[in-house]
Amino acid sequence: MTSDNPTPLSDDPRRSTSSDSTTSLVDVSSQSPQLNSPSTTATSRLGDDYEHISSTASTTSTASKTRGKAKLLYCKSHVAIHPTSFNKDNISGYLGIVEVDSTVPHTLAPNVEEKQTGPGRKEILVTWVPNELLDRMDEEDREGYKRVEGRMTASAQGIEQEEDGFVFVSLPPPKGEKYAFSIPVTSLYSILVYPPSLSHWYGSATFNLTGGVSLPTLYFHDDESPLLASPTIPTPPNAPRAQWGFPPFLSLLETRATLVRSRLLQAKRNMGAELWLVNPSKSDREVHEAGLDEPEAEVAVPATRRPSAAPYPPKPSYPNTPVLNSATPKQTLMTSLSNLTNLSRKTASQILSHPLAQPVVPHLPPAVRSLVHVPGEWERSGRLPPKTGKSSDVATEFESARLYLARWARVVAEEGERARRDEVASQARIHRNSPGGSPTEDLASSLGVFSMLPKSYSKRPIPNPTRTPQHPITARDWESFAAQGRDELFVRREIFKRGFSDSTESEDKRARREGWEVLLGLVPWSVGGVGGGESGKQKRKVAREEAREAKRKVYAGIRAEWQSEANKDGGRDDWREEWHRIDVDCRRTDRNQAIYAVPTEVSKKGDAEKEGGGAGGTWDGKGEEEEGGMAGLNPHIAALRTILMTYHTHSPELGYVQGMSDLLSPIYVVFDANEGDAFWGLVGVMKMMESNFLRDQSGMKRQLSTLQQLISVMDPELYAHLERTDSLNLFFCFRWILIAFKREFKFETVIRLWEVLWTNYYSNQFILFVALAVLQSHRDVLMRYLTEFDEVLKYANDLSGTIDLDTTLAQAEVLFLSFRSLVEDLDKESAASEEGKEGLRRRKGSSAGAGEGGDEDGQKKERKVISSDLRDLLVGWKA
Amino acid sequence: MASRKKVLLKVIILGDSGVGKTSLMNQYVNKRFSNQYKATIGADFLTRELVVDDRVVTMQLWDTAGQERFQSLGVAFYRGADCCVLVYDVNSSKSFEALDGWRDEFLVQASPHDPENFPFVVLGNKIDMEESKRMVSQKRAMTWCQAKGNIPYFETSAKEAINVEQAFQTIAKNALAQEAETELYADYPDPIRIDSENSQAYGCNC
Repeated sequence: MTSDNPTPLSDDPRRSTSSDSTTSLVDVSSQSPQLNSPSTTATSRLGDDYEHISSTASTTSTASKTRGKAKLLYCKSHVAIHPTSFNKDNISGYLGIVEVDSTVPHTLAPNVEEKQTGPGRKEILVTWVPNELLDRMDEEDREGYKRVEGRMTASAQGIEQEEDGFVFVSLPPPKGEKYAFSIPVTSLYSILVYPPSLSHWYGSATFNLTGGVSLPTLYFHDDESPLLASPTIPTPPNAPRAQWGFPPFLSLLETRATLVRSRLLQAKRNMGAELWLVNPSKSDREVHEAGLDEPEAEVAVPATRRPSAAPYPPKPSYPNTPVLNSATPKQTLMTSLSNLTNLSRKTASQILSHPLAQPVVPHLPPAVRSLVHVPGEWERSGRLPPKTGKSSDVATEFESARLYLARWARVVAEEGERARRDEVASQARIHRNSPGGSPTEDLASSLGVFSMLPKSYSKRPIPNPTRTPQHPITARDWESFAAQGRDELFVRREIFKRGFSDSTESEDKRARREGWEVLLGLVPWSVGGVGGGESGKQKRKVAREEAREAKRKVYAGIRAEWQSEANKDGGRDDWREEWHRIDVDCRRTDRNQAIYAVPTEVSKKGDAEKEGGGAGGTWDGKGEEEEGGMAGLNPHIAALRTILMTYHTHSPELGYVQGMSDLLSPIYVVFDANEGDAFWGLVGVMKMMESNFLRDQSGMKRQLSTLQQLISVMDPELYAHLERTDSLNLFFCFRWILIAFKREFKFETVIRLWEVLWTNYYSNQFILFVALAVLQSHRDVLMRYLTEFDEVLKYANDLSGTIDLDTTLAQAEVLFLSFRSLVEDLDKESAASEEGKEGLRRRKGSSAGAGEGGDEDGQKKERKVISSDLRDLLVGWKA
Repeated sequence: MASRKKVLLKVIILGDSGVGKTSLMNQYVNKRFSNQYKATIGADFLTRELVVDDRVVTMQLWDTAGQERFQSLGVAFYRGADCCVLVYDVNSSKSFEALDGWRDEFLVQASPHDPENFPFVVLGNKIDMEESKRMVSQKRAMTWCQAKGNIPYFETSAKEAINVEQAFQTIAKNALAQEAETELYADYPDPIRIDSENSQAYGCNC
C-alpha cells in the first residue's frame, strides 16, 4: 500500500538524500516538475538551490502586494467539519499550511520559537477556511487556494506544470467564524489521526493545542476532492482507501516541525488511529516513544533523520487471525474488522487507563476521552461504585452518554460482524463455483469471534466450532443422506452443522420441511427406509406422504371434537375464554410477515372471518366481536387460531399459553401453511419445550437456575457482576428461553436457529449455551456499564434484532465443548483424589450449584461442583 | 425532603392479555398507536419525564405479560412500585372481572408497606369501539373503584389517545405521593424527620 502513496514527495526514494526542510517547500509551494520525473538527484538539488533564491526573491518583489498575507504552501479542499451527526450540517472547507513573517500579527502565537528555517523569522500556521468564508474573501484569495490545490493535484498525477510562483492568501482569523482557524505550528501539541476504514468512511484529523484545547475534528471527504477523484491514480480495489487526504499534509508539516508518532496509541488496536506529537518536549517524547509493549510498532523518528521511503501511510496492521495468510486482503480486512470493533473499546480504554497515557488523555477528542471517564475505570477493583441509595438515579444514568456509547459501540461491532459474515458467505459462493475452493478457509475465518472468550477456562485449548452454515443442506444433499443410508444421528449432526438452505426453490424448501418433520417427530427418519436407489427414493416418498396423511386425519378428528361442541351450545365457558385469549394473541403474531399481513380492506373482515378456516366463524357467532380493536383477521391467522385452540383441547393439562403463537407461526410457514402438519409440528415442539409453559413456571425457573449455574462455572466474573446488579434471577433472559429467541431474531433467522436447537445434537438444552454466548458477547458492556437490574433488562430487550446468529452459534458450540471438557476434567480430578484419599474427604455433588466448595481442600484453590442440573446439559439426542 | 433530587416513579401496569397495556404505555410515551404490538413476553418498561406539582419526575412504566401464570415471576418487577395501574377492556366483562384478582395479586407480591392506601388507578380502555359492543358500563366500573377505596378511574382509548395524558398525569401524581410516603419508611439507618406540613402536601386528595 505504501507504493500507492499519492504524494510524490514521500514516495520518491531520492528524498532519502535530501530531506532537509527547504526541499519540500519547493515541492509543494512552487511545484518543481523535475522532481516527479525519474531524473537524477542533481536536478533535484538544483531545484533546491533555485528555490532558495526564488523564495527570497519573490517574497521581496511582491512584498507590497503581500503585506499582511501568508504564503500558501499547501492546501486541500473538501476537508469538512461535522458539527453534528447530520450530513446536512457538515461544513466543507480548505485545510492549508501557510507561512507568514512573524511580524504578521496573530494573537495565538505568543511564544514563537526560534526553530524556523530560512531567512528572517518565518512562522508556519495550519489553517482551515470554510468554503463559505472563502467565498467572501477577495477573488485573489479564492484563486490562490484553487491554484495551489490544482498544482498539487497535477503533481500527484505527474502532470508537468509551469512554474507559477508563490501564492499569497489572506489569513483567516486565528479562531474565527464558522470554525475557521489559523494556528501556529508552535501552538500545536498533537494531531490525532484516523485513516479511513470501512467503519469510518472519512479519515479524520484532530488538532490538539498545547493549552489542552482541541480544534474541531477535520474529516477528509476525499471522494469529493480532485486529488483522489482523479482517474490516473489507481485505487487498489480491495483496500477501503489506501490513500487519503491527510498524509500529504503530514509529510509537508513534517518538513517544518518535528513530528513524533506516539507509541502509546497502538494503531493496530485502535482502528488505525495514530497520535502525532508536534515538536514534543523531551519528557513527552520519552513517554510517547517508550510506548507500550508493542515491539513491532512503528516508531516515528524526527523528520530530519527519517528515512524517507516514507512509512506514511503506515501499512494497516490488524490483529492476527488464522485467515491472515490465506485470504484475500478484502476478506482479511472484513475478518479483522469484527475483531477491531469488538476490541477497540476495551483496548482503547486499557490504553488510556495506562498511567503512561495520562499526559495524552486531555488531548484526545471527547468521544475517546469518555472511555477513560467511565466511573471506577481508573481503579478497576471489580467493584461497582457504591449504589446511590435510591433508585432514582437509574433513569439519569440510563440516559447518560456512557450507555449510549456502549450501545453504539456494540451496534458497530455487530454490524462489522454481519458485514464480515456476508463477505465470507459471498466468498463461499465463489469458492463453490470455482473448482479450487476449499471450505476450510471459511471455517477458519469464523474463529475471529473467539478473541472475546473470557479467560476462565482458557488454560485449556479453545475447541473449534464445527458449524459450516455457509454450506447449508440443499435438496440434493438431503436426498443423498437417505440414498447413502445415513442414520438419524448423522442427519441431526448435519442439520446442526449446516442447517437448511434458505433458497426459495421449492425442492430446497421441501428438504427443510422434511427435515423439520424428522426433528419434530411428524415423520420419523426411519419412515420408508434408506438406500435402495431410485425405487427406494420413490418408496420413501410414498411412505412419507402416507404418514403425513394419517396424521392429518387424526388432527381433523381432534379439531372436529371441539368445533362441534362449540357449534352445539356455545361450548364450554372456559373454552370460550381461551378462544378469546388465543384470538387476541394470533391477531398480533408476526403481522409483518407477508403471509400474516393484515388484509387491506377493513370491510372484508367479516368475510375473512368466515374464510378463516371453518372454526373461527363458528364460535357462537362471536367471531366479529373478537376484533376488539385488534388487527383484522386473515385466513392464515385464522388457521393459527384454530390450531392453537385444537392444541388447547388436545393437551388440557397444559392448555394454551402466551408464547405458543410465536412458536407456531414459523412452523406453519415451513409446513407450507398446512394446518394439520403445523399442529403436529407444534405438538413436537411442545414435547421439547413443554416445561417452559407449566402453570407454576417451574420449568422456566429451573432453566434460568441452570443457566445461572452455567454462568457461574463458565464465567465467574460475569456471575459476580450479575449478582451485584440484582440480576441473578436472569429474568432478562426470560423471553429468550421461553420462546427460543423468537423475538430476538428476524423471522427467517429464527427458523435457522430453531432447526439447529431441535437437533438436540450436543445437548437437549443447547439454548442455554446460546443464551450464554449472547451474554458473553455482551459481557463487556454488561460489566462495564450496567449497574442496575432494570438497565440490564432494558439492554437485553433491546438486543432484539442485533444478534448475529452464526457467530453466536459458533460461540455457543465452543462454550458447550469447553463446558464438556471442564466437567470431564473435574470428574477425572475428583476420581483421582477419591482414590488417593480413600474417601477421607468425600464430597458429594451438591445441587446448590457451582463456584463454592474447595475451601477444605488445601491443594486446590477453588473446586467447581457440577450439579445434576448442569450435568443434564450434557444429555443430547439418543437413537 | 430531597426535593431537588430527580425522582424516579415506578409504575406497574397490570391487566388481562389484550386489554391494551402495551398500547397505552406506548401512546403515552411515544405518542404512537399500532394494533400490532406483539403479546408482551416477560417484562419491559418505558420511561417518560413529566412535571408534577412543579417537580420534574421520571416515570418508569412497567409492562408485563397478561397471562396469569406468568405473574409468579412478577415479584421481581413489582418490588419498589409507587403505583399500580389496572387496565381492562370496556368491551370485555371478563377483563373487568379480573381486576379483583390483579389487585390482590399485586398486593401479595409487591407487599407494599401500607396496602390499604397503596395507590391504584383503573383504566377502562378501548372506548373508541362502537357503543353497542360495550360490556362494562361506566357506572359499574366506578362502583367497583369506589368500593376499593376510591380508586381514580379513567376511560381511555390508546388508539385515539383519549384521556391517556390525563390518566397518566394522575398516575404520576399518586405515585409521587406514594414515593414521598415510602421515603418515610425507607431503610435509612436513622429515620429522617419530616416537617409535618410538608408531608401533608403530598397527601392524596383525589
